[in-house]
Amino acid sequence: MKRNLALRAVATAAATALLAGAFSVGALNSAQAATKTTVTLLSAGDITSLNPSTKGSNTTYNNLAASLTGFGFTYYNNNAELVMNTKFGSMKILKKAPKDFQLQYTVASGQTWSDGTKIDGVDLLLTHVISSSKFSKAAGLGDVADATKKPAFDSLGYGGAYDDNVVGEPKLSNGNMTLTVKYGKPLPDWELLAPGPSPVHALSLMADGKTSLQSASANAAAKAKFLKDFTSKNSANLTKMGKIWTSGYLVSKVDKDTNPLLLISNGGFIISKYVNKDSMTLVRNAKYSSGPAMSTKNPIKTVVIKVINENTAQVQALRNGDIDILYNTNPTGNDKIVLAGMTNVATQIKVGGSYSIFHLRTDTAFGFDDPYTGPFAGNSQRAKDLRRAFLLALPRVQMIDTLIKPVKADATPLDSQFTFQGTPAYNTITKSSGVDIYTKGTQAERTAQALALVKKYYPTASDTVAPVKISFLHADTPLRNALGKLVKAEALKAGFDVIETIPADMFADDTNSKSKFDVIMHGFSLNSVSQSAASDTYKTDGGNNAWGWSDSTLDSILASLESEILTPAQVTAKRLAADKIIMANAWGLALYAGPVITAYNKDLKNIKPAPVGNNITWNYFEWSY
Amino acid sequence: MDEIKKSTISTSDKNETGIESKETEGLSQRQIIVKRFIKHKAAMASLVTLIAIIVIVYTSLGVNIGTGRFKISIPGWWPYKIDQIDPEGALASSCNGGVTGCPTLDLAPPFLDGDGIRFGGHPFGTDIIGIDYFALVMRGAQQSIMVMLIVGTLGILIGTIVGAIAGFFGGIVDAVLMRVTDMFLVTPTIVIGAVIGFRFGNLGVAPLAIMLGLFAWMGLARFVRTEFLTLREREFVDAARVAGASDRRIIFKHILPNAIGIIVVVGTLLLSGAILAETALSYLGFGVRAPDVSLGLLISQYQGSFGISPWLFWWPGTLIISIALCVNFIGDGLRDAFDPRQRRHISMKERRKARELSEVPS
Amino acid sequence: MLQYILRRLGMMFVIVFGASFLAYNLQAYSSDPLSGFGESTAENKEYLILQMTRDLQLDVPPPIRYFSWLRGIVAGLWGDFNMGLTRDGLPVIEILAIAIPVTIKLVITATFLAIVLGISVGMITAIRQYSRFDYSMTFVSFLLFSLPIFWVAVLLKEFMAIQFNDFLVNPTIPPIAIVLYSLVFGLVAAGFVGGARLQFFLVLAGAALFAAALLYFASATQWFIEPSLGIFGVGFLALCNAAIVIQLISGLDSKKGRIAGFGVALVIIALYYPLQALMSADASLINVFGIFAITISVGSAIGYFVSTIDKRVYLRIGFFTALMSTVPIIVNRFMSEFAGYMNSDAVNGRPVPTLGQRNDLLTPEQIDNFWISGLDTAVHLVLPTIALTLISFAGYVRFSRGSLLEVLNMDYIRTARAKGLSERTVIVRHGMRNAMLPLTTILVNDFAGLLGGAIITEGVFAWQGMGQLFNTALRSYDLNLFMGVFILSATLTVLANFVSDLLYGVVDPRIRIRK
Repeated sequence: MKRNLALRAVATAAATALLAGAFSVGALNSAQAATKTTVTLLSAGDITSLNPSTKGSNTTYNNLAASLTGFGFTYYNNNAELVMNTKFGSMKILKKAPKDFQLQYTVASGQTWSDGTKIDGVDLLLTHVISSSKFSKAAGLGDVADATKKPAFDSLGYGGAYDDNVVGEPKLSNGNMTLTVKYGKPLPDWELLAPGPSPVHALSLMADGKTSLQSASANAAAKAKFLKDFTSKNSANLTKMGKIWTSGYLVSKVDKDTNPLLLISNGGFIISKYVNKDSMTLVRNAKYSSGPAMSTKNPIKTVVIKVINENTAQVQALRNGDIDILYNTNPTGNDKIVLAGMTNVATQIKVGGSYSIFHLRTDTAFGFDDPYTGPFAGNSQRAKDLRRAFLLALPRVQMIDTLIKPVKADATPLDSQFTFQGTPAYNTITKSSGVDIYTKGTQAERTAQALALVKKYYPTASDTVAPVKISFLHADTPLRNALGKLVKAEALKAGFDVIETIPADMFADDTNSKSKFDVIMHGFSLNSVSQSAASDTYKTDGGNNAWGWSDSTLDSILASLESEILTPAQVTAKRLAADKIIMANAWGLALYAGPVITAYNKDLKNIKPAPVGNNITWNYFEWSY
Repeated sequence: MDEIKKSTISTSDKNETGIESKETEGLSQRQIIVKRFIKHKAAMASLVTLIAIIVIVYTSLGVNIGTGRFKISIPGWWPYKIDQIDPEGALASSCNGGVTGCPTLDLAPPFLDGDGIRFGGHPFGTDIIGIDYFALVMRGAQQSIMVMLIVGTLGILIGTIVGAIAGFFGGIVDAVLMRVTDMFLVTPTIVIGAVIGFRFGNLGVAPLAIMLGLFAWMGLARFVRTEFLTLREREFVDAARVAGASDRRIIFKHILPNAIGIIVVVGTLLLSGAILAETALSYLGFGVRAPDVSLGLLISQYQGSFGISPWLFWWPGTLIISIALCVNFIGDGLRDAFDPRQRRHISMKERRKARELSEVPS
Repeated sequence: MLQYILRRLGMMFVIVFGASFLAYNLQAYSSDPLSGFGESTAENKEYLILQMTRDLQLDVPPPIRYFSWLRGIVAGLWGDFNMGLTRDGLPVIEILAIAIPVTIKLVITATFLAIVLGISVGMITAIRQYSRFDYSMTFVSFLLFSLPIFWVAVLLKEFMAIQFNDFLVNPTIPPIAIVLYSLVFGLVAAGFVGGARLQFFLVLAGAALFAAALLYFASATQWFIEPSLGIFGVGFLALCNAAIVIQLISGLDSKKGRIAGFGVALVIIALYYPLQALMSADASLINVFGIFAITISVGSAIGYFVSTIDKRVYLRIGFFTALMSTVPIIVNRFMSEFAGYMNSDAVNGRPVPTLGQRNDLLTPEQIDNFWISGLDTAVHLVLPTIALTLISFAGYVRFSRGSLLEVLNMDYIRTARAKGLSERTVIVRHGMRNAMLPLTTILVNDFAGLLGGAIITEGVFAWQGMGQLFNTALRSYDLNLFMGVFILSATLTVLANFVSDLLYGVVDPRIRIRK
């Protein structure tokens, strides 16, 4: 008996000490960090192509590599401002008439590709080839509209604003350093249309079957040949190049045997190793001259992009130093504390380029077959009242307090569909858009108002009896699920029986989810800051208008935002008008601008996450240890 | 030649049979089995634990089955529900710098720096919005146990029927059934999970369990078939046939009772495999999905919080392990009970074949 | 027999065909590739949808689309094999060619370890059935059986990578930890050896003291930063190996066995310094094989010439002692690179990674150095190997225990005992050998299953092998890729089933394959 006791005591003590030892975190080693010259970035998904403009399952991840290997006329900085990259060149409006809008791009001289070939205006022409369906058709490269005539350059670019508005072919001048492009009408976001440079000589060489870097003269000749093929619309030669462009850049690995012509870069780095779905290694491009100069003190010499799909694995990898930067766009309070608690890691928390929003269904919308007949359907007073009641019952303050403030302490509910907090436009718009009925008083008062509205149509409703069944669609993430539960609990008090619909795939084309929701909570992320942003979401039968909203005044406001070059004040006024219409119809309500956590090796300097564009890598030239 | 001395290695093969026969004198087959099972301490302890777990899990939250008019609702004794938000529970008592409510469970007595043994309002803490984590874990366990039972029942039922028919009739019936079995065998469980998750994701856990059950019977079918192949050649089957018994009667009254041992044993393995398969599928996002809860889902949701609120990670894990462990031990006990001298041993290979399902979680 | 084999092979085609049709359609209906565009704000969304519909033939119903996929496979008959392109446009076969070696590399060590450890432990538990050790191992193996691997992975990363790397900053073990770890080690060792109470405590004390001494030594000399076995460590291990080999093959009582085993061990120790010359920085795998060839031939020769009768027994002792004693020499060589590896820029003082299969930051010189790149692979394998071993170890323990128990109940064992053979001979020669037979069939099945990939393990440890391919293919509606992985693993499974059925008949002649 005694021995047993002693044994047990020893075992208990052993277990306790083991646990204690295991849980105590020792000091971290940063002694050697001064010599570090490498950065390991994280990619949450597979990198699938060395050419981010070809079709692939995810351009976001391909762009991560592209952002390190290419530089063009503009980039977004950490304040979401579009910066003109004067090292590469400049652009200006040459002519601004209602039917003749000309833009002029001038490439700065003295830049070369990584193989030493001079960069000039000819390198900009490929943008036209891969974006203009008219050129494709005229040059006999295929017909974008005809599924049987697949274009030789099978790009993601056809059908965009460039394709819709460009007139004729771009013209070179000034010793091929200047390019002039003509459009059929003024384009408000013209700065975003700047063509990007592509190493056309490499394309031309590869079309000729070359598999190694060539001499300067051969490169120049290849470039001249491309120009000739372009101007003469040489179908055969362009088709050969199109084949390379479309599938040649799809490689499963990069190693010693890879054709170096595929890797030519004008960015700070050049790809040296790559294994499909696994990792990519990039080294310094010695001939980098197309962007801001690299930091001179302890700059980065090697960048690795590591693909890690699994969330917890990413966090543990950061803690162990296996990766250096983690960019979490969908953090919970727990995530923040985990990341902030790591002694080897620094964190930055700021609003990213995404915002969360509630949209209420009003009608059968673009892309749906089943007619929508739920409680929010139509423009009757009853539908409007019920919609308003639901929006009133959204516990936005509680949602922010419980789930967003633990991440970003100064978060507040977002009150506009078109602008973010912290901008002058936001204050102007929210002051008079009519959003104040959702911000006045306490949530209890608003829920009571909501219940009163519901009672008008459902007399049995009370804070325990919920006669209005609402199907509530949202994505399956921890944050969304938690938000959803808060909505459900509060809406119940206003007479709404909220049934959460959480499909595996939120926009899947099946009857369970897509056509059967009354309200959707989702996030929009912005790829760019533009005047016409999001108009597809709000205009009648817009491609993203899955809620069936339709209002002719709103349509005309959106149309003018899309096609007129306006002053900031004019834009604000139009957006205010649009927000007012949405408020008056009780169509939807914004929730919050999503905070993003950037956690990174604390020895790494000048990490400045940008809300749009290349979030992390936009200023790699400034990085250093 | 070298002289070989007697080694010190010992065995326990000492007249086992003799002891056995004395002990079981005058008892019916069933009594012998029950007696042997009761003597298997680990299995008995596991059985008691498992029953205790099931009772706690189902009574704490009560049972809610079905929807609408067909809803059966039995309230439980636990004060919190899985959709009940307790704001004080979450934010007021958060600890470790975390945003989740701390567990109020404390088993350390005061002299070990604890506050004495207490359960408190939220013994397992709360999640990020103040939902009681004990309630969530119980709900998760309900779901996981339900998956286990549905998969087990279906797997045993189909496996026994297919195996029995194939083994009893033999010939072309056997060949066809066995090749169909092979076909099911190579279809990965995860694909089934993906299809169900996509098409019927929000119908709850039952369709998932049923589909998994439809793909869980192959191992058992093979065993039952082999068993039937040998048993049908035995004298008592001939005797029954001569006496004019129908095929159905021979299968159900004569052969099946003799094959029950292997069915029970392989069945328990199927059960523990099912709970792990559910866990793995939910983890991969192909199983139970929010707003519903399962143990695997809870782990995958909260594994990221491991560093700051480890209890969110430990509790569901502990429950999964406990249930699977109990079922495994019960299976071990049943094997010993049905098979005292281990003549007809269920090897690990056979075990694993029987739990083809659990091949997902590696 | 031939007819049987041909019929089974024919059946296999039918099964794989049926299963692939089923799988193709299940997967095709399991998601919607166009759904990704729901959230897209691209202006040219309509074109993108058109493009995808065209490329993935979404306008063709899946059952018909299946046959266009099948055509590529069947075309393999006339050398025109085509598994199609992935959604990203890469040939499926190229992707598989990258993934297969990754998966093999990941699972092979773990499977090997699980088999060796599992069978050893399983056989010991069978020999000592119903002992304390048997009960605790039964518990442990059931426990491991019940562990979700992703759960284990999180814990392993936390404690064996992150915390261990933190520990390496100042690798001294506090005395209390030394005491506890030694006691635990002593308990395990005593459990293994067993015996009466006195022996149990003697072994416990001995093993604990030994472990304490080792830990103290490691702590005092900063061994974890600059690990090395040295000639003493290598020598000690060689002698231990020799003892185990002798006990298993001839018994430690055999004088000639002792001469052969320990003699070989001593020769290997003597070869320690000369062999270093073969392990320079520019060595390669060939050198390693060379070293093994030298030691094994020396060892076998010694074994062969030790005795004039029963030469094969002593040859085996010499062979296995040499084989197993050479391993520490090689390991020691890898260890000597550890300090340099750990302090290099790429590793930055944290040698145990939580994921990945290689360090992408190693310099070309480091990659070219066989020892450093080997070390790099080894540290990347540590965590996933432990995780996989823990999970599959349990299966082998239970299997070999049951198998040996079954054999030990056989009449011929009774006969062997009755004719006065020593217990060692009965168990090793008659028991273990026969218990191992059914194992061969399992191994076939297991290795076939391996290629299917360890879906979760590969995911949490970011190894891009077959399991990951399968997972991503399922998620991203990459039908061709999905089918590529599927057809490979299905074929192997069916083939392994067939082979193990055949082997069953070969191994156990009592089982006749019915015509």
